[in-house]
Amino acid sequence: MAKTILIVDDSASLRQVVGIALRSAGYDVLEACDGKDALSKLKGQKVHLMITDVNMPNMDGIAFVKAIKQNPTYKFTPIVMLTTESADNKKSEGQAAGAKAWVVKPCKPDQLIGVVQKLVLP
Amino acid sequence: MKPSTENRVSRWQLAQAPALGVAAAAIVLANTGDAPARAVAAVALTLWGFVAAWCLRRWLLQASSSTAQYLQSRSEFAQQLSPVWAAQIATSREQMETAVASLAERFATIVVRLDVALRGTAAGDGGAEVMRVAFDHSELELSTVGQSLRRVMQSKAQMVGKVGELEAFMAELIEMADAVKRIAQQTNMLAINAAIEAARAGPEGRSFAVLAQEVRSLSARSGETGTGMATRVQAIVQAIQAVRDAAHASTEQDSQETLVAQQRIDQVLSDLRGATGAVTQAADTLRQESLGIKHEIDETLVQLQFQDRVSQIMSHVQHNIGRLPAAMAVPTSLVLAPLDAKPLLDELESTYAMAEERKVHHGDSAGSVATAKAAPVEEITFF
Repeated sequence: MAKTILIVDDSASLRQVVGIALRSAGYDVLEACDGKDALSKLKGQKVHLMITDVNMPNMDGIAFVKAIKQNPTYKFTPIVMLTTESADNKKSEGQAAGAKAWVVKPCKPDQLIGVVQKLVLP
Repeated sequence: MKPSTENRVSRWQLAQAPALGVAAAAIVLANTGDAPARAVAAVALTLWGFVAAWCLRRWLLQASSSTAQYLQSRSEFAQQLSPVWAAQIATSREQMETAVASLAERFATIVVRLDVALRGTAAGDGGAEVMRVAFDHSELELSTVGQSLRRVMQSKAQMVGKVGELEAFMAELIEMADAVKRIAQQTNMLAINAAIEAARAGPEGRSFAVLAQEVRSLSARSGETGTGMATRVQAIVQAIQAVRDAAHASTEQDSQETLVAQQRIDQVLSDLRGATGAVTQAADTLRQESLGIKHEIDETLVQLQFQDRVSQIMSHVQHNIGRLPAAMAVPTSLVLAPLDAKPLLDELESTYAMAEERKVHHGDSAGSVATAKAAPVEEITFF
Protein backbone atom coordinates (compact mmCIF):
# COMPACT_ATOMS: atom_id res chain seq x y z
CA MET A 1 0.00 0.00 0.00
CA ALA A 2 1.34 3.40 -0.98
CA LYS A 3 2.51 5.75 1.76
CA THR A 4 0.85 9.14 2.18
CA ILE A 5 2.67 12.44 2.28
CA LEU A 6 1.09 15.76 3.26
CA ILE A 7 2.13 18.87 1.28
CA VAL A 8 1.42 22.23 2.91
CA ASP A 9 2.03 25.32 0.74
CA ASP A 10 0.01 28.40 -0.16
CA SER A 11 1.16 28.11 -3.79
CA ALA A 12 -1.07 25.77 -5.80
CA SER A 13 1.53 25.45 -8.52
CA LEU A 14 4.20 24.47 -6.01
CA ARG A 15 1.90 21.81 -4.56
CA GLN A 16 1.35 20.53 -8.11
CA VAL A 17 5.08 20.38 -8.86
CA VAL A 18 5.95 18.58 -5.61
CA GLY A 19 2.93 16.31 -6.08
CA ILE A 20 4.20 15.26 -9.52
CA ALA A 21 7.54 14.24 -8.05
CA LEU A 22 6.01 12.34 -5.13
CA ARG A 23 3.38 10.51 -7.19
CA SER A 24 6.04 9.48 -9.72
CA ALA A 25 7.92 7.91 -6.83
CA GLY A 26 4.82 5.95 -5.81
CA TYR A 27 3.51 8.03 -2.92
CA ASP A 28 -0.04 9.18 -2.32
CA VAL A 29 -0.36 12.93 -1.75
CA LEU A 30 -2.57 15.02 0.53
CA GLU A 31 -2.57 18.81 -0.07
CA ALA A 32 -3.27 21.81 2.16
CA CYS A 33 -2.88 25.55 1.46
CA ASP A 34 -1.63 26.59 4.91
CA GLY A 35 -1.07 25.28 8.42
CA LYS A 36 -4.67 25.76 9.50
CA ASP A 37 -6.01 23.99 6.42
CA ALA A 38 -3.55 21.15 7.02
CA LEU A 39 -4.66 20.63 10.61
CA SER A 40 -8.30 20.52 9.52
CA LYS A 41 -7.58 17.99 6.78
CA LEU A 42 -5.47 15.64 8.87
CA LYS A 43 -8.17 14.58 11.36
CA GLY A 44 -6.45 11.33 12.30
CA GLN A 45 -5.62 10.32 8.70
CA LYS A 46 -2.50 8.21 8.45
CA VAL A 47 0.35 10.29 7.10
CA HIS A 48 3.92 9.03 6.79
CA LEU A 49 5.68 12.37 6.27
CA MET A 50 4.83 16.08 6.00
CA ILE A 51 6.37 18.71 3.72
CA THR A 52 5.58 22.30 4.60
CA ASP A 53 6.44 25.79 3.43
CA VAL A 54 7.41 28.44 5.99
CA ASN A 55 5.78 31.66 4.80
CA MET A 56 2.04 31.04 4.58
CA PRO A 57 -1.06 33.01 5.56
CA ASN A 58 -3.29 32.04 8.51
CA MET A 59 -0.69 29.73 10.05
CA ASP A 60 2.93 29.72 8.96
CA GLY A 61 5.14 26.65 8.74
CA ILE A 62 6.92 27.07 12.06
CA ALA A 63 3.61 27.40 13.93
CA PHE A 64 2.27 24.39 12.06
CA VAL A 65 5.24 22.24 13.06
CA LYS A 66 4.83 23.26 16.69
CA ALA A 67 1.12 22.43 16.56
CA ILE A 68 1.78 19.03 15.00
CA LYS A 69 4.34 18.16 17.66
CA GLN A 70 1.63 18.75 20.25
CA ASN A 71 -0.65 16.23 18.54
CA PRO A 72 -0.10 12.70 19.90
CA THR A 73 -1.18 11.14 16.59
CA TYR A 74 1.46 12.96 14.57
CA LYS A 75 4.06 13.69 17.18
CA PHE A 76 6.61 11.37 15.60
CA THR A 77 5.72 12.04 11.96
CA PRO A 78 8.79 13.50 10.26
CA ILE A 79 8.42 17.01 8.87
CA VAL A 80 10.46 18.55 6.07
CA MET A 81 10.54 22.34 5.62
CA LEU A 82 10.49 23.22 1.91
CA THR A 83 11.02 26.97 1.62
CA THR A 84 12.77 29.86 -0.10
CA GLU A 85 14.23 30.87 3.26
CA SER A 86 17.89 30.03 3.61
CA ALA A 87 18.91 32.14 6.60
CA ASP A 88 20.52 30.25 9.47
CA ASN A 89 18.27 31.83 12.10
CA LYS A 90 15.20 30.55 10.27
CA LYS A 91 16.71 27.08 10.03
CA SER A 92 17.36 27.14 13.76
CA GLU A 93 13.72 28.06 14.29
CA GLY A 94 12.63 25.10 12.24
CA GLN A 95 14.95 22.74 14.04
CA ALA A 96 13.78 24.02 17.43
CA ALA A 97 10.16 23.55 16.39
CA GLY A 98 10.83 19.91 15.54
CA ALA A 99 11.47 19.72 11.80
CA LYS A 100 13.72 16.93 10.54
CA ALA A 101 15.08 18.60 7.41
CA TRP A 102 15.29 21.99 5.73
CA VAL A 103 15.18 22.09 1.91
CA VAL A 104 15.61 25.35 0.01
CA LYS A 105 13.46 25.88 -3.08
CA PRO A 106 13.92 25.25 -5.93
CA CYS A 107 15.15 21.69 -5.57
CA LYS A 108 15.40 18.83 -8.01
CA PRO A 109 12.64 16.23 -7.78
CA ASP A 110 15.04 13.34 -7.34
CA GLN A 111 16.78 15.12 -4.44
CA LEU A 112 13.48 15.83 -2.69
CA ILE A 113 12.54 12.17 -3.16
CA GLY A 114 15.89 11.24 -1.64
CA VAL A 115 15.09 13.27 1.47
CA VAL A 116 11.62 11.74 1.68
CA GLN A 117 12.91 8.21 1.33
CA LYS A 118 15.46 8.85 4.04
CA LEU A 119 12.91 10.15 6.55
CA VAL A 120 9.55 8.58 5.69
CA LEU A 121 8.04 6.37 8.34
CA PRO A 122 8.06 2.63 7.53
CA MET B 1 7.13 77.45 -7.59
CA LYS B 2 3.80 78.29 -9.05
CA PRO B 3 3.59 81.20 -11.55
CA SER B 4 1.16 83.24 -9.35
CA THR B 5 3.55 82.93 -6.42
CA GLU B 6 6.40 84.01 -8.68
CA ASN B 7 4.33 87.06 -9.76
CA ARG B 8 3.54 87.92 -6.14
CA VAL B 9 7.18 87.57 -5.21
CA SER B 10 8.36 89.69 -8.14
CA ARG B 11 5.68 92.30 -7.40
CA TRP B 12 6.76 92.25 -3.78
CA GLN B 13 10.34 92.62 -4.91
CA LEU B 14 9.34 95.45 -7.22
CA ALA B 15 7.40 97.13 -4.43
CA GLN B 16 10.31 96.72 -2.05
CA ALA B 17 12.51 99.33 -3.75
CA PRO B 18 10.13 102.28 -3.63
CA ALA B 19 8.88 101.17 -0.22
CA LEU B 20 12.41 101.11 1.12
CA GLY B 21 13.02 104.43 -0.54
CA VAL B 22 10.00 105.95 1.15
CA ALA B 23 11.04 104.37 4.46
CA ALA B 24 14.54 105.74 4.10
CA ALA B 25 13.23 109.18 3.29
CA ALA B 26 10.90 109.03 6.29
CA ILE B 27 13.77 107.98 8.54
CA VAL B 28 15.92 110.84 7.25
CA LEU B 29 13.08 113.26 7.75
CA ALA B 30 12.50 111.90 11.25
CA ASN B 31 16.12 112.38 12.12
CA THR B 32 16.81 115.62 10.31
CA GLY B 33 13.51 117.35 9.72
CA ASP B 34 11.42 119.57 11.91
CA ALA B 35 8.44 118.38 13.95
CA PRO B 36 5.87 118.38 11.17
CA ALA B 37 8.30 116.56 8.95
CA ARG B 38 9.00 114.09 11.68
CA ALA B 39 5.25 113.58 12.15
CA VAL B 40 4.81 113.01 8.46
CA ALA B 41 7.74 110.64 8.51
CA ALA B 42 6.25 108.72 11.43
CA VAL B 43 2.90 108.43 9.69
CA ALA B 44 4.58 107.37 6.49
CA LEU B 45 6.66 104.78 8.31
CA THR B 46 3.59 103.49 10.11
CA LEU B 47 1.61 103.27 6.91
CA TRP B 48 4.52 101.59 5.25
CA GLY B 49 4.67 99.07 8.05
CA PHE B 50 0.94 98.30 7.77
CA VAL B 51 1.18 97.88 4.03
CA ALA B 52 4.25 95.71 4.29
CA ALA B 53 2.66 93.56 6.97
CA TRP B 54 -0.52 93.24 4.98
CA CYS B 55 1.39 92.20 1.87
CA LEU B 56 3.52 89.76 3.82
CA ARG B 57 0.49 88.24 5.50
CA ARG B 58 -1.22 87.89 2.21
CA TRP B 59 1.78 86.23 0.69
CA LEU B 60 2.20 83.87 3.62
CA LEU B 61 -1.47 82.89 3.50
CA GLN B 62 -1.21 82.18 -0.17
CA ALA B 63 2.00 80.20 0.28
CA SER B 64 0.48 78.22 3.13
CA SER B 65 -2.59 77.44 1.08
CA SER B 66 -0.44 76.36 -1.82
CA THR B 67 1.65 74.16 0.45
CA ALA B 68 -1.45 72.59 1.98
CA GLN B 69 -2.82 71.93 -1.49
CA TYR B 70 0.49 70.40 -2.51
CA LEU B 71 0.61 68.13 0.55
CA GLN B 72 -3.02 67.13 0.01
CA SER B 73 -2.41 66.36 -3.65
CA ARG B 74 0.67 64.35 -2.74
CA SER B 75 -1.37 62.27 -0.33
CA GLU B 76 -4.14 61.80 -2.89
CA PHE B 77 -1.49 60.94 -5.47
CA ALA B 78 -0.26 58.07 -3.31
CA GLN B 79 -3.82 57.04 -2.36
CA GLN B 80 -4.87 56.88 -5.99
CA LEU B 81 -1.81 55.21 -7.44
CA SER B 82 -0.86 52.79 -4.69
CA PRO B 83 -4.01 50.63 -4.75
CA VAL B 84 -3.93 50.43 -8.54
CA TRP B 85 -0.28 49.35 -8.54
CA ALA B 86 -0.95 46.86 -5.76
CA ALA B 87 -4.01 45.50 -7.54
CA GLN B 88 -2.10 45.08 -10.82
CA ILE B 89 0.66 43.25 -9.02
CA ALA B 90 -1.90 41.04 -7.27
CA THR B 91 -3.58 40.30 -10.62
CA SER B 92 -0.21 39.44 -12.17
CA ARG B 93 0.58 37.09 -9.28
CA GLU B 94 -2.79 35.38 -9.56
CA GLN B 95 -2.55 34.95 -13.33
CA MET B 96 0.99 33.66 -13.07
CA GLU B 97 0.01 31.25 -10.29
CA THR B 98 -2.97 29.99 -12.31
CA ALA B 99 -0.93 29.58 -15.49
CA VAL B 100 1.91 27.77 -13.74
CA ALA B 101 -0.51 25.54 -11.83
CA SER B 102 -2.19 24.64 -15.13
CA LEU B 103 1.20 24.01 -16.71
CA ALA B 104 2.22 21.82 -13.78
CA GLU B 105 -1.04 19.88 -14.14
CA ARG B 106 -0.25 19.23 -17.80
CA PHE B 107 3.20 18.04 -16.85
CA ALA B 108 1.60 15.74 -14.28
CA THR B 109 -0.46 14.18 -17.08
CA ILE B 110 2.63 13.83 -19.26
CA VAL B 111 4.52 12.14 -16.42
CA VAL B 112 1.65 9.69 -15.86
CA ARG B 113 1.50 8.83 -19.56
CA LEU B 114 5.27 8.47 -19.69
CA ASP B 115 5.16 6.05 -16.75
CA VAL B 116 2.50 4.03 -18.57
CA ALA B 117 4.64 4.02 -21.73
CA LEU B 118 7.73 2.96 -19.79
CA ARG B 119 5.79 0.18 -18.09
CA GLY B 120 4.49 -0.86 -21.50
CA THR B 121 8.02 -0.82 -22.83
CA ALA B 122 9.12 -3.07 -19.98
CA ALA B 123 6.25 -5.43 -20.75
CA GLY B 124 7.15 -5.18 -24.42
CA ASP B 125 10.67 -6.17 -23.56
CA GLY B 126 9.21 -9.30 -21.96
CA GLY B 127 7.14 -9.92 -25.07
CA ALA B 128 10.15 -9.43 -27.30
CA GLU B 129 12.05 -11.92 -25.17
CA VAL B 130 9.22 -14.43 -25.51
CA MET B 131 9.24 -13.81 -29.25
CA ARG B 132 13.00 -14.33 -29.35
CA VAL B 133 12.71 -17.61 -27.45
CA ALA B 134 9.87 -18.75 -29.73
CA PHE B 135 11.90 -17.74 -32.76
CA ASP B 136 14.95 -19.69 -31.56
CA HIS B 137 12.75 -22.69 -30.83
CA SER B 138 11.11 -22.47 -34.27
CA GLU B 139 14.50 -22.17 -35.94
CA LEU B 140 15.64 -25.29 -34.13
CA GLU B 141 12.47 -27.21 -35.07
CA LEU B 142 12.67 -26.16 -38.70
CA SER B 143 16.32 -27.07 -38.78
CA THR B 144 15.36 -30.53 -37.48
CA VAL B 145 12.72 -30.82 -40.22
CA GLY B 146 15.34 -29.92 -42.80
CA GLN B 147 17.66 -32.56 -41.43
CA SER B 148 14.84 -35.14 -41.52
CA LEU B 149 14.14 -34.28 -45.14
CA ARG B 150 17.79 -34.66 -46.00
CA ARG B 151 17.87 -38.03 -44.22
CA VAL B 152 14.84 -39.14 -46.23
CA MET B 153 16.60 -38.07 -49.39
CA GLN B 154 19.66 -40.03 -48.37
CA SER B 155 17.54 -43.11 -47.66
CA LYS B 156 15.92 -42.77 -51.03
CA ALA B 157 19.28 -42.48 -52.70
CA GLN B 158 20.41 -45.61 -50.86
CA MET B 159 17.26 -47.38 -51.99
CA VAL B 160 17.93 -46.40 -55.58
CA GLY B 161 21.43 -47.70 -55.09
CA LYS B 162 20.11 -50.99 -53.79
CA VAL B 163 17.76 -51.24 -56.76
CA GLY B 164 20.76 -50.71 -58.98
CA GLU B 165 22.50 -53.59 -57.21
CA LEU B 166 19.42 -55.78 -57.85
CA GLU B 167 19.81 -55.14 -61.53
CA ALA B 168 23.24 -56.66 -61.37
CA PHE B 169 21.74 -59.71 -59.62
CA MET B 170 19.05 -59.90 -62.30
CA ALA B 171 21.71 -59.94 -64.99
CA GLU B 172 23.30 -62.90 -63.26
CA LEU B 173 19.91 -64.62 -63.04
CA ILE B 174 19.37 -64.14 -66.78
CA GLU B 175 22.75 -65.66 -67.46
CA MET B 176 21.92 -68.56 -65.17
CA ALA B 177 18.58 -69.08 -66.97
CA ASP B 178 20.38 -69.04 -70.32
CA ALA B 179 22.87 -71.53 -68.91
CA VAL B 180 20.00 -73.80 -67.88
CA LYS B 181 18.55 -73.54 -71.36
CA ARG B 182 21.90 -74.35 -72.91
CA ILE B 183 22.36 -77.28 -70.55
CA ALA B 184 18.89 -78.52 -71.41
CA GLN B 185 19.66 -78.19 -75.13
CA GLN B 186 22.96 -80.00 -74.76
CA THR B 187 21.29 -82.67 -72.61
CA ASN B 188 18.63 -83.08 -75.28
CA MET B 189 21.35 -83.48 -77.90
CA LEU B 190 23.04 -86.08 -75.75
CA ALA B 191 19.74 -87.87 -75.25
CA ILE B 192 19.14 -87.87 -79.00
CA ASN B 193 22.63 -89.23 -79.59
CA ALA B 194 22.01 -91.79 -76.84
CA ALA B 195 18.72 -92.83 -78.50
CA ILE B 196 20.49 -93.19 -81.83
CA GLU B 197 23.21 -95.30 -80.25
CA ALA B 198 20.54 -97.31 -78.39
CA ALA B 199 18.74 -97.95 -81.67
CA ARG B 200 22.03 -99.06 -83.24
CA ALA B 201 22.59 -101.37 -80.26
CA GLY B 202 19.40 -103.20 -81.05
CA PRO B 203 17.55 -105.11 -78.36
CA GLU B 204 20.50 -104.71 -75.96
CA GLY B 205 20.12 -100.97 -76.23
CA ARG B 206 16.37 -100.94 -75.56
CA SER B 207 16.78 -100.04 -71.85
CA PHE B 208 19.36 -97.45 -72.82
CA ALA B 209 16.89 -96.07 -75.30
CA VAL B 210 14.29 -95.77 -72.57
CA LEU B 211 16.86 -93.96 -70.43
CA ALA B 212 17.74 -91.72 -73.29
CA GLN B 213 14.07 -90.97 -73.79
CA GLU B 214 13.69 -90.05 -70.16
CA VAL B 215 16.75 -87.81 -70.34
CA ARG B 216 15.29 -86.22 -73.44
CA SER B 217 12.01 -85.50 -71.66
CA LEU B 218 13.95 -84.27 -68.65
CA SER B 219 16.02 -81.97 -70.77
CA ALA B 220 12.89 -80.78 -72.49
CA ARG B 221 11.36 -79.92 -69.15
CA SER B 222 14.64 -78.27 -68.04
CA GLY B 223 14.64 -76.27 -71.22
CA GLU B 224 11.08 -75.16 -70.58
CA THR B 225 11.96 -74.30 -67.00
CA GLY B 226 14.98 -72.34 -68.13
CA THR B 227 12.91 -70.50 -70.70
CA GLY B 228 10.26 -69.79 -68.11
CA MET B 229 12.96 -68.56 -65.68
CA ALA B 230 14.47 -66.35 -68.35
CA THR B 231 11.10 -64.89 -69.20
CA ARG B 232 10.25 -64.19 -65.54
CA VAL B 233 13.67 -62.78 -64.79
CA GLN B 234 13.37 -60.55 -67.82
CA ALA B 235 10.01 -59.34 -66.53
CA ILE B 236 11.49 -58.76 -63.08
CA VAL B 237 14.42 -56.89 -64.61
CA GLN B 238 12.06 -54.70 -66.55
CA ALA B 239 10.02 -54.09 -63.41
CA ILE B 240 13.14 -53.27 -61.44
CA GLN B 241 14.31 -50.93 -64.16
CA ALA B 242 10.96 -49.23 -64.09
CA VAL B 243 11.18 -48.89 -60.31
CA ARG B 244 14.72 -47.61 -60.58
CA ASP B 245 13.75 -45.03 -63.18
CA ALA B 246 10.77 -43.95 -61.10
CA ALA B 247 12.94 -43.76 -57.98
CA HIS B 248 15.50 -41.68 -59.87
CA ALA B 249 12.88 -39.27 -61.10
CA SER B 250 11.24 -39.08 -57.68
CA THR B 251 14.58 -38.52 -55.99
CA GLU B 252 15.43 -35.73 -58.41
CA GLN B 253 12.10 -34.04 -57.82
CA ASP B 254 12.24 -34.51 -54.05
CA SER B 255 15.74 -33.15 -53.95
CA GLN B 256 14.67 -30.08 -55.87
CA GLU B 257 11.63 -29.52 -53.65
CA THR B 258 13.65 -30.07 -50.51
CA LEU B 259 16.10 -27.45 -51.68
CA VAL B 260 13.30 -24.99 -52.39
CA ALA B 261 11.67 -25.73 -49.01
CA GLN B 262 14.95 -25.19 -47.23
CA GLN B 263 15.46 -21.90 -49.03
CA ARG B 264 11.95 -20.78 -48.08
CA ILE B 265 12.50 -21.80 -44.47
CA ASP B 266 15.75 -19.86 -44.40
CA GLN B 267 14.05 -16.80 -45.88
CA VAL B 268 11.19 -16.94 -43.37
CA LEU B 269 13.64 -17.29 -40.51
CA SER B 270 15.68 -14.40 -41.84
CA ASP B 271 12.57 -12.21 -42.11
CA LEU B 272 11.49 -13.17 -38.60
CA ARG B 273 14.95 -12.46 -37.28
CA GLY B 274 14.85 -9.03 -38.89
CA ALA B 275 11.40 -8.30 -37.50
CA THR B 276 12.39 -9.41 -34.00
CA GLY B 277 15.50 -7.26 -34.14
CA ALA B 278 13.49 -4.24 -35.31
CA VAL B 279 10.96 -4.68 -32.50
CA THR B 280 13.72 -4.94 -29.92
CA GLN B 281 15.46 -1.88 -31.34
CA ALA B 282 12.23 0.12 -31.34
CA ALA B 283 11.54 -0.87 -27.73
CA ASP B 284 15.06 0.21 -26.74
CA THR B 285 14.66 3.53 -28.56
CA LEU B 286 11.28 4.14 -26.95
CA ARG B 287 12.68 3.45 -23.50
CA GLN B 288 15.67 5.74 -24.05
CA GLU B 289 13.50 8.56 -25.38
CA SER B 290 11.01 8.18 -22.54
CA LEU B 291 13.79 8.40 -19.98
CA GLY B 292 15.16 11.46 -21.78
CA ILE B 293 11.77 13.15 -21.71
CA LYS B 294 11.35 12.35 -18.03
CA HIS B 295 14.72 14.00 -17.33
CA GLU B 296 13.63 17.12 -19.25
CA ILE B 297 10.42 17.24 -17.26
CA ASP B 298 12.37 17.00 -14.00
CA GLU B 299 14.45 20.00 -15.07
CA THR B 300 11.29 21.87 -16.01
CA LEU B 301 9.77 21.16 -12.61
CA VAL B 302 12.80 22.79 -11.02
CA GLN B 303 12.34 25.92 -13.17
CA LEU B 304 8.64 26.06 -12.38
CA GLN B 305 9.52 26.41 -8.71
CA PHE B 306 11.02 29.80 -9.50
CA GLN B 307 7.48 31.06 -9.99
CA ASP B 308 6.99 30.69 -6.25
CA ARG B 309 10.03 32.86 -5.58
CA VAL B 310 8.82 35.51 -8.03
CA SER B 311 5.39 35.48 -6.44
CA GLN B 312 6.89 36.02 -3.00
CA ILE B 313 8.98 38.96 -4.19
CA MET B 314 5.92 40.54 -5.82
CA SER B 315 3.93 39.95 -2.65
CA HIS B 316 6.51 41.80 -0.57
CA VAL B 317 6.52 44.73 -3.01
CA GLN B 318 2.73 44.73 -3.17
CA HIS B 319 2.46 44.95 0.60
CA ASN B 320 5.01 47.74 0.75
CA ILE B 321 3.19 49.71 -1.97
CA GLY B 322 0.09 49.43 0.20
CA ARG B 323 1.99 51.32 2.92
CA LEU B 324 2.77 54.24 0.60
CA PRO B 325 -0.42 56.29 1.23
CA ALA B 326 0.24 56.23 4.98
CA ALA B 327 3.83 57.39 4.40
CA MET B 328 2.67 60.26 2.18
CA ALA B 329 -0.35 61.31 4.27
CA VAL B 330 -0.86 65.01 5.09
CA PRO B 331 1.24 65.79 8.18
CA THR B 332 -0.60 66.89 11.27
CA SER B 333 2.23 69.08 12.41
CA LEU B 334 2.84 72.59 11.05
CA VAL B 335 6.50 71.77 10.78
CA LEU B 336 7.04 69.98 7.48
CA ALA B 337 9.46 67.10 7.76
CA PRO B 338 11.11 65.82 4.57
CA LEU B 339 9.92 62.49 3.23
CA ASP B 340 11.94 59.58 4.59
CA ALA B 341 12.00 56.28 2.63
CA LYS B 342 13.96 54.46 5.30
CA PRO B 343 11.01 53.21 7.40
CA LEU B 344 9.31 51.79 4.35
CA LEU B 345 12.54 50.26 3.09
CA ASP B 346 13.32 48.77 6.48
CA GLU B 347 9.83 47.33 6.66
CA LEU B 348 10.23 45.89 3.17
CA GLU B 349 13.61 44.39 4.01
CA SER B 350 12.18 42.71 7.08
CA THR B 351 9.87 40.66 4.87
CA TYR B 352 12.66 39.29 2.68
CA ALA B 353 13.26 35.53 2.60
CA MET B 354 15.75 35.24 -0.24
CA ALA B 355 19.34 36.33 -0.72
CA GLU B 356 18.65 37.98 -4.08
CA GLU B 357 16.00 40.20 -2.48
CA ARG B 358 18.61 41.50 -0.04
CA LYS B 359 21.13 41.96 -2.85
CA VAL B 360 18.73 43.99 -4.93
CA HIS B 361 17.67 45.98 -1.87
CA HIS B 362 21.25 47.07 -1.40
CA GLY B 363 21.74 47.94 -5.05
CA ASP B 364 23.19 44.75 -6.54
CA SER B 365 20.60 44.07 -9.27
CA ALA B 366 23.13 42.11 -11.36
CA GLY B 367 23.62 39.76 -8.42
CA SER B 368 19.93 38.84 -8.46
CA VAL B 369 20.10 37.90 -12.14
CA ALA B 370 23.23 35.89 -11.60
CA THR B 371 21.61 34.12 -8.68
CA ALA B 372 18.54 33.33 -10.75
CA LYS B 373 20.58 32.04 -13.66
CA ALA B 374 22.83 29.94 -11.48
CA ALA B 375 22.04 26.32 -10.77
CA PRO B 376 19.25 25.92 -8.24
CA VAL B 377 20.36 26.10 -4.64
CA GLU B 378 20.52 22.43 -3.79
CA GLU B 379 20.59 23.21 -0.10
CA ILE B 380 19.43 20.37 2.07
CA THR B 381 20.01 20.32 5.79
CA PHE B 382 19.14 17.40 8.02
CA PHE B 383 18.57 18.02 11.71
